Amino acid sequence: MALKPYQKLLVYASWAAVLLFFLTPIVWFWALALRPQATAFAMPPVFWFRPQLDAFYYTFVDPGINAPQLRNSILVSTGATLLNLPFALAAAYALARFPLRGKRFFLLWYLSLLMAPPVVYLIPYFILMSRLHLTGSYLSMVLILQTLTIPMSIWLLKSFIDEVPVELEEAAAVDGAGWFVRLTQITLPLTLPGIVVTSMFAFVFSWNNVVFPLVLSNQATMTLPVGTMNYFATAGITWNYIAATSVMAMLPPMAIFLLLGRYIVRGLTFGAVKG
Amino acid sequence: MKTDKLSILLLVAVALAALAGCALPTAPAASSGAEAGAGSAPVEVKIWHMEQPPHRVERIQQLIDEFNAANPGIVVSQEPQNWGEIYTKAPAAVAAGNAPELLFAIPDFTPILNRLGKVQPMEEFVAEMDALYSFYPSAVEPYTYDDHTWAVPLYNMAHSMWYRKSVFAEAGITPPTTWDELLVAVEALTQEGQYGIGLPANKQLYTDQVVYDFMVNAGADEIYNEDGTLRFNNPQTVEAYDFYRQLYQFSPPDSPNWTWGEAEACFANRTCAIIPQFTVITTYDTQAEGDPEDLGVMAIPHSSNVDASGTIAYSNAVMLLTEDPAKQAAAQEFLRFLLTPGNYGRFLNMEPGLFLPVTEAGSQDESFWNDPLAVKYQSQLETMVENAKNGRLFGFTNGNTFPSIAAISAQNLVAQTAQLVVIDGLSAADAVAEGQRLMEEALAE
Repeated sequence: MALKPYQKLLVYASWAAVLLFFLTPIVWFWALALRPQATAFAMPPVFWFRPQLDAFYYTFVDPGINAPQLRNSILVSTGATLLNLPFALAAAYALARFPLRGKRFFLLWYLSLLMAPPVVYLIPYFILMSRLHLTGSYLSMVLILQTLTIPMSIWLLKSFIDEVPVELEEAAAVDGAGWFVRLTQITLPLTLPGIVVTSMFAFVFSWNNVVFPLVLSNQATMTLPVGTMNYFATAGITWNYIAATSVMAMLPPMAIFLLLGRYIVRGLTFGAVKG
Repeated sequence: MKTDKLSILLLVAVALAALAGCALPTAPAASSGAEAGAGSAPVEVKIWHMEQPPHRVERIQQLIDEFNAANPGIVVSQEPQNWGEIYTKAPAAVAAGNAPELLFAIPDFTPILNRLGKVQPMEEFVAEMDALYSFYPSAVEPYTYDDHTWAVPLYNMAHSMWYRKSVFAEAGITPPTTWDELLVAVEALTQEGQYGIGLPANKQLYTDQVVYDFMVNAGADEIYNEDGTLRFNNPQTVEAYDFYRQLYQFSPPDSPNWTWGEAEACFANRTCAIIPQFTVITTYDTQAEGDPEDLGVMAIPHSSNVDASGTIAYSNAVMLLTEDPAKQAAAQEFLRFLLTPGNYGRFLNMEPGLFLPVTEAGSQDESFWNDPLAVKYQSQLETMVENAKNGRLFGFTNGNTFPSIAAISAQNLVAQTAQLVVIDGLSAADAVAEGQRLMEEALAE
């Protein structure tokens, strides 16, 4: 069904409006990071300026205060994603394939962990990590982030595993394959797009989390979002540094989604058409 | 079956590798020198402060490094914290037995820690420093109650009104000293593309501070009676809130949600002719004209019922949280070092033009006045120091210091009352009555 010209125009205009709505803050932040500091709040706004990288240079090169924080964010998010996968995968497989008692309860419990705001758990976790002498370590952040990533991953992975026909595994079982072989040789390869998507979400969840690193990190292990917050103060706020660090904090998740976009499409449409 | 076992081993290995990879050495940089000669471990002193901007952290680290080099038996380290979290994190750290030895504070934070029984009395140390450098009494007063002084004042922050002399001259007005003059001025200054004044009105700390500026200047600086009962609901407070409502008509429409940064930005881009702020010097110097001849600063105008201008002032201090005598001595040694002229000015200039001295000696410290920004904006700084001398803080005035103020300030109830007037349209009298009710409720909790 071909659209009439005015309908096409309407569709494009709607897309443009939505794009504008979502992109304006990002573009504004990019501009704030790139514009000369003196034009940051000029009124009327200065739209044309010679872009400069001073704010990026200051924050990430010399003195490069935020460069270690970028590394810390990568370490913590990667660690949280890697640790999350084996546990979430095993739990999701069990919940999808085995007749467990209280399965529904477990799934709802995982969901409830995601529903409560993370700040609720903050102080108990801080006390726990203090008692274990782990505050300020990467490990403390990686461990506590599991409270967010594992429940989310279990739900996602279970839905992907559910889509793999159980008959394939039953056939393998007839041939003598144990559950682990069935999981690794049949289910895992078939759910690979789902695993990639789940890992991406786990990474982004961990990357964007500020609350846990805020209380569990120290100066040496501080993550980039926390480092960005440090530029806020009661006076002399350096908005261009805030913008530069925020832009850098946006880049890895954006890059991941751009590079692995095809997996997202495959993952999210996985099983959408059933035979 | 063999494959199964191998695969399980592989999975376990992946999990362990992930864990191991995350457990990299993470000791704070500043404590790297903790190991001393065999048998004589240095005394470690950990400082938590809320001066997180990197340049402030860097300046504090410079001073710490100098101190550590000069005192081989002591290792001081810093851990910047966030004001948003410290009210819950610090008590949790005390509960977990992991509290720092020194913790920076503002007056209404001290009672929270004090309740946990960890804060050490500091009156003897304060007296020692007072004899050497003469503390301004208003800096010590908010920390003195229950027969003790609970923290050592380190620096002061006080609001002033900031404006451009050229903008005033163009509008044909002189700096107002009374509310009547201020109202005329902001009306005259509200022109095409410019608002007379920038005022916040949301339930957050900046609003608390600005509203209290006007309460002080209406003679409503006391929130408590001498017996500890609330006296928020009084004619002076109502007058302050009513004047705030009148002024607010000349403030930008988005200003209710502002915190300090937005107010500074509004001033920097000339949208606001006047703003109440601790300082605008750094922002004005880097993001606006940077002309010291044109930057004006004045005391906050007062009601005709009050004789002189006052302002909100935060005497920032440091609490000692350790009962270990060796750590106490080491921490006090560091504080002696910090308050010594020469070091003290550099400490204050971790944020030039914001932090003001709390001692007479500090006010004359060359290292304070030698900073390039202090040289450039010397007259503004002198006015700020002068304004700060008339500083007050709600709940900590005239010896009527009641630790329960922490419950009121933690919930920003002074700001919430302003919100009732400005946003919800209640009359000042009704809003103040509601404000007192909310405060009584908070205290009852």
